[in-house]
Amino acid sequence: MTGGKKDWLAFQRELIESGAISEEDLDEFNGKVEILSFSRAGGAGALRADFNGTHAFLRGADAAGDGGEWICRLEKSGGAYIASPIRKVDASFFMELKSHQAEEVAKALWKSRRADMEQIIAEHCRGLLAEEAEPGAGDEAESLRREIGELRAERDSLMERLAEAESLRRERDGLRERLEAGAAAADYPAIRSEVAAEERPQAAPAPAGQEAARRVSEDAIESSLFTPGKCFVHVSLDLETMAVRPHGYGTAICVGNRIRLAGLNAISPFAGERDLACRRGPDGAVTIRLKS
Amino acid sequence: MTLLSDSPHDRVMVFIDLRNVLKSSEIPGLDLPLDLYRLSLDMAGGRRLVAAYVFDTRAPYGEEDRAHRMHDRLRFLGFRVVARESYDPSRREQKEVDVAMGCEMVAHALKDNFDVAVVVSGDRDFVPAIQHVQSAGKRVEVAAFHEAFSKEMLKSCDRYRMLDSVPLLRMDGPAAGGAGGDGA
Repeated sequence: MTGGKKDWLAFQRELIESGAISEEDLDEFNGKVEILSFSRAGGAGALRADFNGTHAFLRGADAAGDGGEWICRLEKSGGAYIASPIRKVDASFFMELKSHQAEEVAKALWKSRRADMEQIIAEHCRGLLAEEAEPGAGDEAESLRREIGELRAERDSLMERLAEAESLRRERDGLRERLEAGAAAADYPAIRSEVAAEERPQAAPAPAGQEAARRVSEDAIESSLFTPGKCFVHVSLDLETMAVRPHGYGTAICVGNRIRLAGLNAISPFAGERDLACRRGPDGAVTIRLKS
Repeated sequence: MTLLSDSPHDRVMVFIDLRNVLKSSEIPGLDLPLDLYRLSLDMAGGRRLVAAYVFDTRAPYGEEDRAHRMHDRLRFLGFRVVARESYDPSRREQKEVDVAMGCEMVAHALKDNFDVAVVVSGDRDFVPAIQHVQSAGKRVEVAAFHEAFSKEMLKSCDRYRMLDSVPLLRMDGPAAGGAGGDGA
């Protein structure tokens, strides 16, 4: 292994304790020791590894082998190195490592070759899960997924129906409010009101032929066409025409077919009781001719 | 007698020059307020009233405005009250009011917000605005009291209506309040 911190002396002791190396060979470790990966260039020739910008050639009987990773001692020779093999780094080497040594190796491998390690571990886990899965678990999962889909569809349908019911409920409440407001607004005079229902006469139509009003006093006019209750009374600028409309917000009051008006004598001086021509219009207003 | 006919589907917008119409509706010695609510409904006839504007002056900001209550009552009834600030305390001079009313008429005409404009004023200052409204394809009716009617207005509008014979001045009972339609 190259890179990372390690206690070389402790490692030597461990190698000796594990029997991987004898004490006599320790002297050989006093030189440059590296772990190199050897291979034959082009599949032929001497086993060599790249080191320090040049080559290191493996010597000895192991030079006839396939190469691989070797712990070796290096001696400089000219522009290259001669590698004396100490121990091959293979599976048996790792099997003989102590737990903390294996941990160091694993950390170094995880750091330098994480992508490969993740793939290996993931494949191993998938294999384990496949072995441990009960027979038919895949079918059961598919069945559960189908059932979940059906339940979701049913839930969505119920939600739609619930939303529709809520919408209808709101519409119903809104209609009720508008009906109630309309009934209340029927007595309220406002430009906004599009319906003149509040001005519709409430009394029954006068009998045919009876289209007359009568000036009965200085401040009162009566007619069977008048609707009992509040009413609006308007007079024209030329003081010839008067209009009476029943209305909940009226400023005059009809009592017993008679209406008393402030200032009536000023616009039409009282000269005794007399009949006044009048008629009921299509809008319910009673129009009276004050002057004959 | 008029050249044009009405349609019940016509959209009517009423524009009232308040000071002009109030002044011309006064009867000396008699307290008969002009009922603008009744006036607007009468001008609309059986047609659809889409809006009713009232143009008047108001006191400058910070000064007591006696017309403020009347304006609010009109707003409460549904009128759109446009009150331009006037520096004349007695409001004898109407500043900006006529132009504001003319602009409003033309703007609404160009936006196709009405079919018929009813101008409640006899002031001939509105003739150019009336012509522009007519150019936009809208009809213009003018309503005013005889005393206030300018001949130019009579000639420029599509229909005119004298209000003298229309019952618009409100009479109250001997002990009645002031509810309902409102004038001065």
